[in-house]
Amino acid sequence: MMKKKSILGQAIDHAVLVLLLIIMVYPLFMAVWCSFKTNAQFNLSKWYPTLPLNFENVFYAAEKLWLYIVNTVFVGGVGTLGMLAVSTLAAYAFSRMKFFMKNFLYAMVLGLMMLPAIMTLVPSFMLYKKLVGTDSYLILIIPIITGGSVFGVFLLRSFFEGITESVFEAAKIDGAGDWVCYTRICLPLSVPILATLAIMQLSGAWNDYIWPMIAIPTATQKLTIAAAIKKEFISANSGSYPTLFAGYLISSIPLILLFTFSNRFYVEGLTSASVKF
Amino acid sequence: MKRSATAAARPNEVGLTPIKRIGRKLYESKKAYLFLLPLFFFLLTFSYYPAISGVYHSFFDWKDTGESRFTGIENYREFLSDTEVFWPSCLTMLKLLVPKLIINIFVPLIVAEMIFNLRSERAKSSYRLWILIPIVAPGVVTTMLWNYIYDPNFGLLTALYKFVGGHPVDWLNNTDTVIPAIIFMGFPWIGGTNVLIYISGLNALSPEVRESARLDGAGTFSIIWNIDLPQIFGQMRFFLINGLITGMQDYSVQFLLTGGGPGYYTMVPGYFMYQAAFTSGRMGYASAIGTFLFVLIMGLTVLSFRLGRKESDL
Repeated sequence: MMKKKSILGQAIDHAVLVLLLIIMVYPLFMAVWCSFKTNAQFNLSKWYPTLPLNFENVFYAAEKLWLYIVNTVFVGGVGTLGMLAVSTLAAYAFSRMKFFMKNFLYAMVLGLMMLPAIMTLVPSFMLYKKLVGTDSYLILIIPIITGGSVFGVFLLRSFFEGITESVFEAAKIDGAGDWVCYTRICLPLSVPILATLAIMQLSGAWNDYIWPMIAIPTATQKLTIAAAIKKEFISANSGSYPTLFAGYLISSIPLILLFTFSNRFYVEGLTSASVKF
Repeated sequence: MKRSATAAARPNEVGLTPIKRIGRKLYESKKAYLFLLPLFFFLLTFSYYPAISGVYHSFFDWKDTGESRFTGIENYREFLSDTEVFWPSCLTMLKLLVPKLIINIFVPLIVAEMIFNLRSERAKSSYRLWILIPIVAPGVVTTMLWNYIYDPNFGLLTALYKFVGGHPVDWLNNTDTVIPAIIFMGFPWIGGTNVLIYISGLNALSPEVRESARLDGAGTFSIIWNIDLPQIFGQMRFFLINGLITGMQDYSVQFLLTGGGPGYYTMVPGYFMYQAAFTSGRMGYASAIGTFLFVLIMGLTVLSFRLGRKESDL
C-alpha cells in the first residue's frame, strides 16, 4: 500500500513538472518554428511547426543583425578581458600580500556592491559623455570592466586564498616574486573560475540594452545586439511576427552556442551570485 | 597587533613621527598598491565619482549640456510634492514588486522540492537542464515574446481567451489588466537559475538526516517544513534581498512595452527618473530622484538583512 502510494506520488510529481516545463518552453519553441514560416503560413497555423520550412526570414534577420552580434562580441570580449585582468591583479594583492590599509581598501571595493545601478545611471552618463564621448566603443567597454570587477575581486580573493600555502612557499624558495606567483600559480589554477566569471560577464553584455541605447544615441552601427533588437529591428519589422521571431532566434544563437559548449561554467556563473549570502 | 610586530622587527622605526611612520608603511606597501592600481583607477573614476557627483548635482539644475545652477533642495521638493505621478508611481512599484517577490521566492522553491524529491537521478538531471532553456534567450527577447503573447490580435493568451469564449482584450493597454499582466509575465516563473540555487542548497545537507527522519516516520511535508526550509533559509533570504534591490530599480517592462502607460498607470520611480534625464534632459532632477531611490533601497536592504539575521538566530 505504502509503495503504491509513493509510486503514484512520483508519477504525479513527474506529470506536474513536465506540464510546467512545457508551458515554460512553449512560447520559445513557438518563436523558433514560426521564424521558419511565411506570413501566410503564420496566419494559418502558428501553434505547431509546418512544412515547408521557409528560410527567408532567418537569412534576412541574420543579414540585418550580424554587425550587432560582432559588436557585442567585441565590446563584451574586450570588456571581459579587461575585467579579468583588473580583478585578478587586485584579488592577488588582497589574498596573498600584506600591506597598509588592506581592510579599508577591501571594504571600499565591497561597499560598491551596495550601490544601486539606478543611482549612478545619470551621473555616469554625464561623466562618460565628458571623458570618452557618446557613440564610442569605450563608453560600452569601460562599464563592463568597472561593474564586473567588484564581484570578480570578491569571488577571486576567496579562491586565491584557498590555494595551498606550500605551492607559494616552494616557489618563493626558488626565488619567485609576486609577479611570478601571480602569473605562474594563481592564473593557471583559476582558469575554471575565470571562465565562470567571463561567461557571466559576456551574458551580461549580451543582455544589456538600456545603457547601450543611452550611450549610442546616433551611431547605430555601434549598437550591441539587445539594444539593436529594440531600437532598429523591432521598429523596422513591427508588422511581421515571423520576421521578428527570426530576429529573436538569430540574436540568441551565440548564447545558445555558449551555453551548449560551456554548460557547467555557465550555470556556475549564474548561480554564483548567491554566494554573497 | 600588526603595528607592534613591525616595530619589533625594525627598532629604528620607534623614534619616527606618526606621519613619517605612515609614509614608510605606504612606501613598504608600494608593490601591493601597484597590483591594486588598475582596480582603484576604475572604481574611483567610474563608480565613486559618479555616486558623489550624483548626490552633489541633485542640488543643482543640471542640464544635459553639462551647465548647472545651484537650486538647493528645489529638485527634492518638486518630486516629493508630486502627487500626480511620482507618489502613485511608488505605489505601482509596490503593486508589482510584492507579488513578484512572493512568486520568485516560493514558486521556484516548490519546483525545486518537486525535482529534489524525485527518485530517478537521470530524471532529476534532465529536468535541471530543461529548466535552463529560457536563459539562452536575451532578456529583451523574452520580454518581447510576452508582448506577442499579449497581442490582442494574434497573441497566445488572446487565442486561449477566445477559445474559452472571451472577447479580445488589449492586455497591456487596459487599466484593469495591465498590472496583473505584468505580474503574470514569465509564467510559470521557474525558468533560469532560481530553482537550481535551491536544489544546490538542498543537496548541501547530508542525505542521512533526511533518511533517519523518514525512518522515524516523518512524511515528505514534515521533512520539507522541519529540515529543508531551515536548510535553505540563506537562499530564500538571498532571493528576498536581491529581489528587493533589483525590483525597486527595474523598469524594463516600462522601457520596452508600456512606456509607463496607459496614462501613468504602470509608471515606476525608476522609469520616472529615466524620463526626467533622457527625455526631458533634467539631469539634476533625475539625480535627486536617483539619490532618493538609493536611500530607499539602502534602508530596505539593511532592514531585510536585520530581519533575516534575527530569524536565522532563532
